[in-house]
This record gives sequence, structure tokens and C-alpha cells, in this order.
Amino acid sequence: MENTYLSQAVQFIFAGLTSGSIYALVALGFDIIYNVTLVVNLAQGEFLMLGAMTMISLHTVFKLPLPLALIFSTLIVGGVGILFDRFAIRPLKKPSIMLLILLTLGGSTFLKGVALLIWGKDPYTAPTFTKIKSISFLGASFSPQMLWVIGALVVISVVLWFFFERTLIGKAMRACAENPRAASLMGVNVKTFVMISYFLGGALGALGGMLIAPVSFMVYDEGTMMGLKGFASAVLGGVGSYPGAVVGGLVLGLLESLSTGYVSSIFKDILAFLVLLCILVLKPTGLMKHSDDK
Amino acid sequence: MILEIKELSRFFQRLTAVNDLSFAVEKGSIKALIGPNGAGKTTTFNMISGLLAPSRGSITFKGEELISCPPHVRAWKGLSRTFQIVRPFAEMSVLENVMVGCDMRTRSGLFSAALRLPRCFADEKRARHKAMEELEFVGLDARAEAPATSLPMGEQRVMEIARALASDPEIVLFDEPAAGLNEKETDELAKNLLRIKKRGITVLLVEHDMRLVMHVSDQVVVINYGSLIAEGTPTEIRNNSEVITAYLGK
Amino acid sequence: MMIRIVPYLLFALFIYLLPLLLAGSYWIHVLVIIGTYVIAAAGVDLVVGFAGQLSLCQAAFFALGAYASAILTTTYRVDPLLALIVGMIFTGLVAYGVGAPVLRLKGYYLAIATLGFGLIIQSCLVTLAQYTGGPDGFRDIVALKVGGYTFKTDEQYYYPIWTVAMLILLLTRNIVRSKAGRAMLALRGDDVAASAMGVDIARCKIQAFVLSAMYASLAGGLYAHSNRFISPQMADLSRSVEMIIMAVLGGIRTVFGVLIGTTIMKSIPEVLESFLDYQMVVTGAILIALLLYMPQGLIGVVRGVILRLRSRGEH
Repeated sequence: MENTYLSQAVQFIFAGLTSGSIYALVALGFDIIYNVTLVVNLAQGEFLMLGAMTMISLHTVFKLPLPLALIFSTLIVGGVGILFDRFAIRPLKKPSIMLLILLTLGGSTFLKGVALLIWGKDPYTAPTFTKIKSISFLGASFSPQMLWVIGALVVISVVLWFFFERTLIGKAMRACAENPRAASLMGVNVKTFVMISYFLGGALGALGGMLIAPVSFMVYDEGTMMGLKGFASAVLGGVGSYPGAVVGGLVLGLLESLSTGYVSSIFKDILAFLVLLCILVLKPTGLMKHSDDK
Repeated sequence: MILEIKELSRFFQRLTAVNDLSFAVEKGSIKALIGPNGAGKTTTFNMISGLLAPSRGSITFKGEELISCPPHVRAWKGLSRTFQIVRPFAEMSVLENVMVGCDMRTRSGLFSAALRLPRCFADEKRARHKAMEELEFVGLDARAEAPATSLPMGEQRVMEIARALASDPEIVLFDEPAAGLNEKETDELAKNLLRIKKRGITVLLVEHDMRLVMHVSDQVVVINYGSLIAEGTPTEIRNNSEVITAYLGK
Repeated sequence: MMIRIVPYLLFALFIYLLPLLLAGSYWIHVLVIIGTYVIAAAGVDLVVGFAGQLSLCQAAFFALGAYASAILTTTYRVDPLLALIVGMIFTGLVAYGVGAPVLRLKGYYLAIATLGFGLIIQSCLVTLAQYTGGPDGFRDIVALKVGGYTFKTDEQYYYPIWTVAMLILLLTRNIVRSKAGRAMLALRGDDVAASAMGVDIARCKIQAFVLSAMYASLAGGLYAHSNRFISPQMADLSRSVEMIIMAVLGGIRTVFGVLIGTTIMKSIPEVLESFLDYQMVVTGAILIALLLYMPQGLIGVVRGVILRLRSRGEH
């Protein structure tokens, strides 16, 4: 008896950590763009979808070996991010929150539409990164892809930390966010860093998509729900906080998995929405940040 | 005393903005709240008008405790205000801006508005009339149909005064009304404040312009670092050594 | 007073005579659909344009009204007119329930919260298949019946739907030119100042949100009867985005601008062949172009041109 409860729990936890890692990656993408531009990119979920779809096409249609497909897909979607900024955001003369929301929303609709044209409504699958079918641990069996996902999150988190804390470019990007005027006066080319942030946002989204595609199906409109959950994760951890994005994503993933497993699967998609609402009503600054009395 | 502040305090995470502040405003008078930059004047104002919750203390208006009363209800009870940085309603004309002030005194709802019932008609007429009256009072009636944001900043401030008066308030809080005004405009402002007093409306103002304060105020309250350091007539305050020290530094 | 009525009467006359001009053409069906969406778009203009609340779930309310009418009249044989009203009340209550907590949020949070809510509604419509017919939609919806008269053909639906549409626009115009309209604009312009000037901003937001939801519900119900087929796709986020375009394209806050916006957005699929696949791409592109280059809509562009011509004439 003990064993099945334990193995069930392990199963749910791993599933939760896996999906949570994806949400974390989406949330990181949100945060990077937000930190540099103060724009919340509602098309972030679409970057995830595009990354997966592009990788699948490169691998199955153009017969590229998987690692190359991964790299090129990341670059391509990063490029889409840059184009997105260049053509949809930058031309805006009088930025206001409502306009930015609607613009990114328009971009998201556009990208979804492009995906619909290219790939249609069919779901696609991708091959797992390694050929091993499944691993057993404490009585639970799961796909090794999950390890890839969680491992990727760890690696990416470390790389990002290093980038923003230790490299000149990363620090300059942080400066851009905190004070764009001062940054540009000090010779920092704000436009370039905005471009970099959108590239990174696109790349991270794409990576998330490529990591999860082998585990679940990818459809042209998968991005919306993923974007919503990624946003919820970012809010949960505190918008703009990178550790918060990781924590928020993992927490959301675990909550989702545990409630789906132990309570009911109806909750799966609603949960993110409810968590978001609760956080916004109770503690809008997220779990990680201290709130200033207001 | 139309407005009484008792032991009003406001703490933030690392700083005490207002500390145990107590003073009262006599009905029909003009009282000025002054102090160096960062003394807590605007914080106090925001607590009185309901935009910020106090950490401690009480605010009594016409004998009624105001804590937990939302800003729009305070306005309805007769407490109006202007803002340090103008807050016009963009997308509306000057007249419509002022009419928003009058609107709280009418009672027709969505239904009668949708169907253009006679009650709504009469209310509209009345609101329009009252708004024009206030615009004439401040001298802006010629600009009634202009978009509010097309006015120069000085005129927008004047519009805000008309808007604040349109609800027939009993007290108006002026938050640095002279900020950014030139000498001529400040004199106009002083004249308007005295005319408002003549209408029986109480005035509480936060100001930096000492000339204006000394000219129009009946009473002055001086605060620094969130605490009260002096209270009295303009003359008394002018000669108060603590006040002088506060402004000039030790 | 008399002079001001004339443009409206002329327009009404034009609307009523139009089917005779287009006798038997497929465009009458398109116009019927346009008529229903005009009602929904007017609601969007109210809540987004006037009250400044970015609600991204208007299509979900449209769908709720459509499904309420469809289920009540076809499955439970309720009188269609009664079903429309019940649907509006139901949708209004749902909007109130969602709006009360959610409208306290601002900016991105409000937008995403409404977006999430829309997704949930769409998901419910798909999952509760035993009532809604599931992802394949709800077919053969009963015809609209008023008094003893049953509406069957597109020509027959055209008149009641467009009469309702014009009445709604008139009602909306009256609302925005009153205290309620000013309150919404004040709320949009500066909610802090609005509050200080006596506007109960929480109530105003909810009023606008619920009203726009009821507009959408009415539109959805009329659509269900006239189109005889509905699907959960109508609650999709892209449809909500389309509705926002409908409100903005003609001219935000012009009330009658929705006529232009809706006509354009609903005519495009008819003009471009095999358009269905391109719909999303075009929608996204139009929204981006609109916001970047024509935020005041077409009426705004025309106004700008007129102003420029006038100032040139003065020199």
C-alpha cells in the first residue's frame, strides 16, 4: 500500500516539476522583456508554440538532426521576437498600457494565425531527446524527457543568473530597465538592449516549447494557455523577478499536478486562473517580494 | 470646527511620513498647511481626502468620523479637492470636466439616461447650468467647449478649481495650487481663494508660496518630519523661531 | 430638436430599404450577422472605449447569450423572446460575479483575468457537451418567434435585428451623453480624480462591464436564431479581439463608428475567398496597424483631414 501512494506522489511531483519548468521558462521570458522594456509581452506563449512547431518541421520535414533543429529553431524564434519588437512595438508613438496590451495581443493573434496557415489545426508530436523509453524511480515510471526539461531549467537559470549578474551586457540591460534615460546618457544603446531582450524572450519561449513538445502535443493555439500560465507564474513569483519566475512556475506546476491527481482533472486549466486571481487580490506583488504599504 | 485631525499617523516600511498630527480647521476660514519638502503635507492631504489609509488616528468631518469612508463618499459629504499635478479628465471638454463635479448632486440613473426621460433632461440642464456658473466664477467660461487637455497648465488648474466647486462642497482641499504659477497667476489665485471664502466655503491648503500663504490664510499649521511644530496666525508663525529653523536648517 | 432627428431617420430609412436593393443576395445574410455584431461591438465600445476597462472576454458573453437562447428554446422549448431576456439576465449575473473581484485589477492584470475567464467559458462550452453539443456546436436552433410571427428567412430576420441594433445605438448614445457617460470617461481619464469628484468608480466599472455583457448576450441570442448554428469557437479570444477592432476601427467612442468597424470586419471574410484560414492573421495585422497608425479610427482620420482642410482654408 505504502508503495503505491509513494509512487503516485512521485509521479505527480515529477509531472508537476516538468510542466512547472515550462511555465518557469515562459515566465522568465516575460520577465526579461518586462525588465528591459516594461512591456508585458502577451505573445510570449506564441513563442513557445512557434519554437516547438519550427523544431518539429525542421526535424521531420527538412530532416535536420535534432540538436541542429533545436538550435536553429531557437535562433529563428528569437529572430521573430526581434521582428515583433521592431514592427509591432517600437513604432508606437504614444505608449500607454492599454495600447501595449492590445498591440501584443494583436501580435499574438497574428502569430497564431501564421501558425494556423503553416501547420493547420493538427496536433504535432516531437521525438524525445533520448531514446530511452522510460525510467523507474520509487515505483513511478516517467519519461526521461522530464529530466531534460527540469535539467534545462536549472542550466538556463544558472546561465541567466551569470549573464545578468556577472557580464557587462547583462548588467547594462538591468540598467536600461531601471532608468532608460540615464542608461542612454551613459552611452548604453537602449534600442539594442531592447532587441536583445526580445531575442532572449523569444529564445526562452522557444526552448520551453521544444522541451515540452515530446511530452505533450503541440497545436497552433497551445500558446494562449501556456502564456496565461506563464504569466500567472511570473505574477506568483513577483513580476520581474527571475528567481520568482522559477519558483512561481514550479509552484504552479506542482499545484496543478497535485490537484489534478488527487482531486479532479477539471481543475487543470482553471487552476492557473484561480491562482492568478488569488494572488492579485491578496498579494499583488507576488510571493517573493516585500510589499510596501499602499 | 468643520474638520478635525487627531493623532493622525502614517507609517511606511522604512519611514514615518506623518506622526501624531493633530489640528482643526474652523468653518469658513482659510487654513494653510506648510512645511519643508518631504514634511508629510501631501500624505496628510491624501489621508484626509481618502486616497491613503492612515496607520493611526482619526479624521472627523462635520462631526462624522471619516476613516474607512471611500473618497467618493467623502466628496459627496462635501469634501472636495484639487491636485498638486493637474488631473484633468482627458477626452472631455472643460465644461464636461466641471459637470462631473455637479453630477454627484443629481440622482437620475442609467435607465432614465438611456431613454432620455424628462428627469434626466432636467438634471442635465441643471448640471450644465451649474458647471457654467462655476466656470464663470473662475473666469474660464469662454473655454467651456475646448478639450480639457488643450488648455495651458495654469488654466487647467483653474478648471480644477471650478470642478472642485461644482459639487457645492463645504470644504475644499487645495494641494499646492500655486505650483508653477507666475506672479500674476498667483495673485489671481489669491483673489479666487478669498472669493471662495466669501461664499462660505472652508479652505485648507498646502502651499510653498509664503507670500500667498501669508496673504490669504487665517490660520497656519507648520509641520516638519511628519510632526506639528507650530500653529497660529500668519504673523505668529512668521516670527516663530522653530519654524524659521525648520526652513533654514540648523 | 427636429433637425437633429433627421440624420437618424434618414439612416433608418436607408437600413430598411437596403434589403430591397440587395434582393435575394447572400449579402442580406451577411448584413444580418453584421447587425448582431453591431450590438456586441457597441457594448465593447462602452466598456473599453468609454470606461477604459480592457475586457478581453466579450466574445465569451456573446457565446453565453447564444447558447442560452439555443439551449432554452431548442432543448427546453422556452419562448424565444423570454429566452433572450433570461439569457441577458444570466449573462449579466455572470458578468457581475466575475467583474466584482476582477475589476479591482488594473492594466495587464485585468486584461489577463478577463482573458482567462473567456478561456474558461470556452472550455466549459466544449466540455459540457450534453447540453451544448460540444466542440461540433449546436445545430438547428429554433426560429425566433415574436407574438405569433415566426422569423424564418434572412430577409425576415434582417428587420427585427437591425431595429434592435439601431435602438441599442440610440440608447447607448443617450447613456454616454449623460451623467453615466461622463462618469465612465472620468474613470477612464483619471480614476483618482474621478473618485475625488464623487464618482463611485467601483460601481461605474461594474455597471459598464455588466451592461456590455448584456449587450453581447442579446447579440449572441439574436445570432443564434438567425444563423441557426453556433459553436464554442465564437467564444474564442480572437473573436474578442475582433470585437475590440470593431469598436476601434470606425472610431473609438463615436458610438456609431461601430457600424463602420463591424461592417468592415465582417465583410472581409466574404470578399476574400477561402478566407477562414487567413482570418486570424488578418485580424492580428489589422489590430496592430490600427493601433500604430490610426488609433482614432476611420472617423478620426476623416476628422483630422477635415480639420486640416479647414485650417488651410483659413490661411
